Amino acid sequence: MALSRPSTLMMLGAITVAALALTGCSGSSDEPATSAITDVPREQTTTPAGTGPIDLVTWNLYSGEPASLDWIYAYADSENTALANMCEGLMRQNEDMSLSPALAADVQHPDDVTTVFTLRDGVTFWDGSPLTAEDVVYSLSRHLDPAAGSYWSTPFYDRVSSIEATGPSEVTVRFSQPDSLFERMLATAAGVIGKQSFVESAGEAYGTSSGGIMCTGPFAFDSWNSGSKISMVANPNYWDEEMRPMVEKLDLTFVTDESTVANSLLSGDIDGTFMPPLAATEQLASSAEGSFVLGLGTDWMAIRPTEKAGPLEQLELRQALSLILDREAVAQAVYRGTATPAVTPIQPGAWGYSRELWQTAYDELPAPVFDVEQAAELVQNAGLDGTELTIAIPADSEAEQKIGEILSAGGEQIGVSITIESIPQTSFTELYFDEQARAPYDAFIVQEYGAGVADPVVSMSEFTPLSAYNYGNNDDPVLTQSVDDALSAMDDDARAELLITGQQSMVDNLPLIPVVNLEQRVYQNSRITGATASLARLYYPWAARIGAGE
Amino acid sequence: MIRFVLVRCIEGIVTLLASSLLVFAALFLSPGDPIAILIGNRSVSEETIASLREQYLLDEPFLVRWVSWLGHVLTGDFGRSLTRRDDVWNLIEPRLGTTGLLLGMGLVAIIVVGVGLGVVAAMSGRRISDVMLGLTSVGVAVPAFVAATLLITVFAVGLGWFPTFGSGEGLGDRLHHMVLPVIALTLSSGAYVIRVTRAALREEAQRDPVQTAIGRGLPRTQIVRHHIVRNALTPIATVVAVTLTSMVVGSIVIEKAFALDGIGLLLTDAVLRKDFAVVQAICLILIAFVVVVALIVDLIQVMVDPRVRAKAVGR
Repeated sequence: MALSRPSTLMMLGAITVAALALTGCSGSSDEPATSAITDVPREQTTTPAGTGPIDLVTWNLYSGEPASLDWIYAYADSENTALANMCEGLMRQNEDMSLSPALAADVQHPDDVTTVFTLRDGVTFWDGSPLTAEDVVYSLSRHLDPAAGSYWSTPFYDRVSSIEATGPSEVTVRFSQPDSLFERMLATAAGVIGKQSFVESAGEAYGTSSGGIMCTGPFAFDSWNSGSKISMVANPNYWDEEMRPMVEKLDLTFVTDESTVANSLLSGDIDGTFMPPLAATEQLASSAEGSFVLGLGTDWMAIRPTEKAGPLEQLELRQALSLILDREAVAQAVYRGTATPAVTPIQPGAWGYSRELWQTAYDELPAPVFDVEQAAELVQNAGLDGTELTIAIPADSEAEQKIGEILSAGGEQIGVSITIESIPQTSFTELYFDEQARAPYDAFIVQEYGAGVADPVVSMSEFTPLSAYNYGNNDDPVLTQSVDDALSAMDDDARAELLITGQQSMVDNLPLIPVVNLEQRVYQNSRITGATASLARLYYPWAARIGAGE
Repeated sequence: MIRFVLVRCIEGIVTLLASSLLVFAALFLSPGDPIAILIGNRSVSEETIASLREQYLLDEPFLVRWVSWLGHVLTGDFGRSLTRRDDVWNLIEPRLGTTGLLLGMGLVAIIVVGVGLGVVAAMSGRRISDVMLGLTSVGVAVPAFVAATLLITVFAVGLGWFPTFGSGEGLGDRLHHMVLPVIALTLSSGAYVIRVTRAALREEAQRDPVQTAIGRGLPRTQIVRHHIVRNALTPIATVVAVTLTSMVVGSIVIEKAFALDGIGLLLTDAVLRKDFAVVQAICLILIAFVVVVALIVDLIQVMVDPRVRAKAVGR
């Protein structure tokens, strides 16, 4: 199509496009942030409690719409964050990641393999019916039924041998061997108590947008508009009087497009979110319209070797890779100051008990070292010059992309050729459970959160033959013994001491190469305050203290 | 005429079958195991995996799965979503309204604004016509996602006139929520419609019968209505139809950018999670839509254009 138009018009058009492009495309540049955030509150467990009632709060689930609200299928971020305000279990993981009874009034251990829970009096489901021991037995037993396909059954119910009602308000759980992790897991979706008759009559529809759910939490399920939002309303009869919601109605939206999330936060269409887009960090942290807080988390980013036979089996090469990682640059440029350089995946958010012991041990760990020359020397001395490595990263993820770039650039300097293979997210997920899928790669870059519970034994076990996740076939007797003993150690301090020994061994032997530990990002606009700041929000009713700001 | 419609309908059904087979094959061959997406990075017992695979026919050969799926669709059963554990139709039905409203408003915008401005451009003087042509070349060049970002930045965040995302509740609110998405969706294709309309009208105006009519001194409005517009209707209807079908694709991008609860957003999500049943059902609906639009355009052509009618009846 031949066009005839004056050249001034063409110029006008070009200028308009350029001007529009300039106004629209700030924030998504590839340049590392020049000024990482400095003055935001860090290591928080909560945000200042709300001061008064508020009609409606709209909160976004950054990882998208939950697939199901049935607790046995609630393993991912969105599912748990949504469920946390509505459903609860016998135990509660508090905002500071400590543990206390919830629907249980009392927990007794007559012996090492028996736990007796006494139910709290006067707890009712949203429909007004009382919570019974049968509901508890039914709810927990769903994980034991292979046909139900619970995502939590392995390994968290592996040691459970029976769950029985031993009184009108008493439930006894017996184990094949002592299980020090079980009560902690009861504070997750693995321990959610739903109403038996409701679940049974809903059948396959339980937990779907049409079937709904029935629990005892501070917010009651109201509606689920598939594709649009999940609404819940305050439960005025909630048993924990201190946690009766100030928010009348809580809407959870599912916006995943990062620029739309950032814009909606700035315009006030969304009141708050966990993990706001990294690209908008500086903008949100400096915004006068809201508050940005960093909370305790358990997430870590690391390079995990696979079982592929090859050079990564040599400690020297793992040490060299660790030395060429400029972790400070990753924390500042990639995570914009919301992550800390790491030599251990176990960060303060994971210390759910015996914090002093963990802190002392943490202080004694070596600081991360960035030393390319030392790395080159290691490689030379071990005769690893010219080694070739292939490392997988998920496509479309900026953080892993940047770490990959840093690795291959560093590798070049020390005589190790590192190929970074970026594979689609769907195939990348396969690496976690399919040995065939891992076969072509020496390692992959992972971001994990150890089930989101504050017991390091969960993530540490992954580096022992005790776990199905021991991709690198790591077999460190010190670590394995510490994890094995800790899984059965019912005393908190004893468990911490055992795991601290294992942690030291991990730092020395590098079964994984930690890069950074991520903090929990929370943004709330000035209308509201009170959301949980720590990763406890996966299972703790994080909206119960939200109320009007100021 | 009836025979013509029948033939076109059969062609449409064949198209649907062929494309559903293609979509099925594409999903089948694409990397990633649906079970992987379903269970993610957690350990699930072998029994669970096996029962899931059996339940969703994941170990059956490709053709068996396709035929089984087709059989169910014929009885009105679109299957069950692998990741959401819900009937596919339960997921699609509430979202059809949003996508329908988006496309409907887009179509109105295309016809009223696009064709309207095209007529104005064709009828007005050279200077105005050139200005409009210049602006459309800018419009055509702006991709929908860029337009969406700009519109949100300026009119939702900056001026606060419109919501940044979502599709609202109640008619008024829903229309209000749709304004920016519709503009983003139709900016580029609307500009294209303006250009084609203008060109078609100008071409018709150059034809001998029109020149003759002008020579005979017929009134200008009569010439425009009877000769120019009527004859230009076929290319205009075609471009509107093509634009509408391209808007179906564009709506997927727009629904994501504005977080609209339409079937496009569901489709993007389902593709990522390799949710076969959902992807198949949505693709089938979208393709059926395109087939129907094409059929309607053919009918319009047959009705307004005697030359096409002669051909259609003659074959």
